[in-house]
Amino acid sequence: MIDSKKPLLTPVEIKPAIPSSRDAGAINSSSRSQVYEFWLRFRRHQMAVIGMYLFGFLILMAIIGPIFIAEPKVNTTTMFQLKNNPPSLDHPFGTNVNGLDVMGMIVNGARISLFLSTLSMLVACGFGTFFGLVAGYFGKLTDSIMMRVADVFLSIPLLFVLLLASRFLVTPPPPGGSAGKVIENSELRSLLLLPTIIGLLTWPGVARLVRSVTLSIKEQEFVTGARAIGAKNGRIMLAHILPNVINPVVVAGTLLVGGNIVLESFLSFLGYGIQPPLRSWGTSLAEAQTEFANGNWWWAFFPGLFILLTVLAINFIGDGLRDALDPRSKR
Amino acid sequence: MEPLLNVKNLKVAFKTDGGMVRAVNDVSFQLQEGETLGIVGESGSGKSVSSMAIMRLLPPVTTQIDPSSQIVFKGQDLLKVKDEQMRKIRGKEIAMIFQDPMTSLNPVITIGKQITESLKLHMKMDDKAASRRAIELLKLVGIPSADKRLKDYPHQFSGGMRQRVMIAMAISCDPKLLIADEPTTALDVTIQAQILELLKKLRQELGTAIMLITHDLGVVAGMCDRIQVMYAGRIVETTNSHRLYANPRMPYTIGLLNSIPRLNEQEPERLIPIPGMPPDMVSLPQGCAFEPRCVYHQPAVCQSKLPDLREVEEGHRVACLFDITRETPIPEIETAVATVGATNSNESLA
Amino acid sequence: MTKFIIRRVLISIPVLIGISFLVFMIMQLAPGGPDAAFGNNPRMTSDQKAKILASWGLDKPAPEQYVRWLTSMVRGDWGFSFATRKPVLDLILDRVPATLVLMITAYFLQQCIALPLGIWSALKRYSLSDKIFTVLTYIGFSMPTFWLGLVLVFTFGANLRWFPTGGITDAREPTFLKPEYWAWWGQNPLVPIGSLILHLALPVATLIVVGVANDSRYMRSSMMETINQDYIRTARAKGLSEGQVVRNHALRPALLPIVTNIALTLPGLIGGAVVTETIFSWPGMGRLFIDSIERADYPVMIGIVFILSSLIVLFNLIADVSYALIDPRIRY
Repeated sequence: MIDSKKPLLTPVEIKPAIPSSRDAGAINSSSRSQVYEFWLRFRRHQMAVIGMYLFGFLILMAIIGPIFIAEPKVNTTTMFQLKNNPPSLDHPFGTNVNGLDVMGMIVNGARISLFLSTLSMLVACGFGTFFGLVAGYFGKLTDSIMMRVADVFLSIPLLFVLLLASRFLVTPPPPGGSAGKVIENSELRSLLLLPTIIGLLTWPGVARLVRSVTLSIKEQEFVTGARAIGAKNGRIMLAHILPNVINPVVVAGTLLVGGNIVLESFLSFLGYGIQPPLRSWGTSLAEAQTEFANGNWWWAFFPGLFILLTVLAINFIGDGLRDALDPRSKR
Repeated sequence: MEPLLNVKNLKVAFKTDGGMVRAVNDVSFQLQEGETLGIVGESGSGKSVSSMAIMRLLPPVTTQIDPSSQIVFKGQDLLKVKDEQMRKIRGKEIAMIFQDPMTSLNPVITIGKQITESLKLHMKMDDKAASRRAIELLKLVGIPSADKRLKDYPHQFSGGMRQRVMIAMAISCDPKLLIADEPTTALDVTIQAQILELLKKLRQELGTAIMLITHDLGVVAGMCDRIQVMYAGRIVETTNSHRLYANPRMPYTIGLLNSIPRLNEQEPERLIPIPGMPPDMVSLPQGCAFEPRCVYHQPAVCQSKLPDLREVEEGHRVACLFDITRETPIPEIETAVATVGATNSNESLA
Repeated sequence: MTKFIIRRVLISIPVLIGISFLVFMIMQLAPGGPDAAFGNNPRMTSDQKAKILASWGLDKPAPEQYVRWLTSMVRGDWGFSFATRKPVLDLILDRVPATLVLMITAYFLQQCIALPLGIWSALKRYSLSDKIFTVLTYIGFSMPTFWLGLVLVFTFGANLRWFPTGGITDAREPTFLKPEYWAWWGQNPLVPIGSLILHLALPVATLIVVGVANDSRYMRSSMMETINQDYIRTARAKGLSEGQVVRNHALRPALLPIVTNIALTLPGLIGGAVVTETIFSWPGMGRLFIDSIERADYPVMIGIVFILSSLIVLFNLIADVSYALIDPRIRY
């Protein structure tokens, strides 16, 4: 029959079209092709691409907009003429009760809103990832206890507790009471302390996500392999599990930014968010409320519209990211 | 005699992001009443797609069936009948069982309900009659305590039992044709044997024609009257089972048989796998699709002409331009041959 | 099965305790504490202040405060409002009906719209209407609810005058839940019902937009996943029509994850209630909360947070248990 001693065919190196099962678990193939592949998949999402452009525009507006359109300042001479003007060529989004250009307010407020949401997202993701990793990795009692803690945070009515915390830790204290313990300056407080608080209340969602990914990765062979060669727990968590956790966290984080924007604007709307003289989209809405009733709708309408567009863009991107990073998930 | 099933020039393609996948390329075969046909091939050979095409279960939007294809069942071209008509045939005249019984049974509905559903639909039975028949069927396929198990859910059965339930469901309306798509692949070897025995018994008692689709030549060995081997969407060899094992003529079949370990071998010999990778179904070559992996290939000839099925002995047809048998010696290796390498020669087929 | 339920209930208890602890901590951390509430009242001498603080136990060390506070909460003694001196529990219970009416209506309507919408779009996937639906849902859950509320009030309430701009009753109508209110119902139920519907229209619409967007997408993806399952292929192979396949084989498995989701949408609605009650001047718990925050009225704030957290814990419990009850794989 066939001479088994003679090789059938001279083996030639060919790149496998399908990654072999030996590339266990994490994405270990060449990073260039991986990033490119990700980009290809992302690009296929029409909406995600639209979201990307939209968001890019908004970021641009936030960063360099204020250079061109200065923060509107009250000008006592023109104030009454300009008061409550509907949208026109001069003022595309109209003016408010003090004669200030609404568009200017939007452009300048963008930075604050975006900064705050991103900061709170980072806090939530950072803490949540750490928490979820530890809980998922060590399992058993540690996991149970940690997850109960997460449950506590998940069971609180977020908006209520946030208002509570914000009212007493962030906004200026009522006359006669003691000042905030951490930072004196109330506007700084609202800019830094508030997002931290938001982050500290929204982390459990991320933690749960990270924990479930950790749990499933933990059982895979390459983790056992790493342990077998004596890798320490910390190293395993950082080098092997974390890379796999990053993808879903990125998606969750993106969507979290969107949610935080709405959250912050509502807080500011009620007066418990960004403190004056800082201005965000939410604060504009708060001030504009009464004027709305008078029929001067543009002041309240446009900032809210921009919130909508920003969150929309973020959600589009988030969805695109989700599909691009995990091709197995079905649309 | 008029064949029960007559498939003519079946061509099925799918629209995908990567291009048109030509899953089935001009497949024609017949099946007589009561006959058992084995269809063997690797993943991607088009065997499952052919059977799904017969049942008209292929996804509507992305599937393209060539208008010249015909699937004639009891005189009717199934590709041309209306949906309503087809639904009357599905489950009643032609029934199908699938590979993984765990996912193929609805987890939230009792198996009793799942069986009686067909009976009520096709045989217009009422509840009581349907339940009684369901119990009979369960007994027929060998499920103990059948009357008590009607109220159970699929996850309360073992893998082999579930497959029996699937079979019970399939034969409930006395179909003329039973298509079994890899019925044993998801099961343990010992259970495999049991299921095959069951199918054999049913064939004898009910006279159903069976199309047994598998990648495992061992499975079809004791079961089938005829076997056809498929590769890259075409039939490459077809004959009765005895002759297939005794005298395979297609290099692919020969390769398949060589890669199966035998218990009765005198000297331990190395298993010889078929080198290379399955073909790319989007861009199939003009000539023989197996050529790159064929140890006997002659590029000049094999790449230029698409081999048709030709009769090499009575009732034995092969799609190869040459007359190869198991005894044919392998031609010398030239460097030009090494255009396809194996990344690892220990890769086996199935 | 009962073991599962018992275990689940037992787990809830430490969660509740944890929540109470968290709430207590925030209370303690707040600058000034209850002192702040008195800071504005110049007529109080420091003696009087000290007495009141003592009666509230606020002069004792923190752990002892916690235990005292917790035990009294559990016993039903929720203290008295700083601002109005009324019993907190009564204050809150007064407001519960209005919030309940709003939330139940919103909840019900939300599911009635979202579920069929999700199923329909899953079955029509990738068609034009599905794409439009997708864009609309994205806009839906990206929308800041309070902004939507403002826009609706302005457009339909102030401008077009189709709906009232706020409140649960008009100024001319009897106050909600006072005795005259029920007499009003007795006269001719259609009038108060009509008024209720009109008043509910805008707030409910505002509340449910986000919920419908989210829930319908969830339903859609659940349905899509179910339709791709092997057992659907088997059902088709049995000769069932597509409608029968969807109704008898796809619907139940697809709805399974939704059951949990339904229980979990409650927290979202609770948060949304704050928004809507503020904008529409709805006399409910959310508004009470905002007011009490304004006035640093601790007992009321704590009471509301407590009640709502317990509700959320309860609904999480219900979600878990109901999933176990419905999925036969867990039940047996």
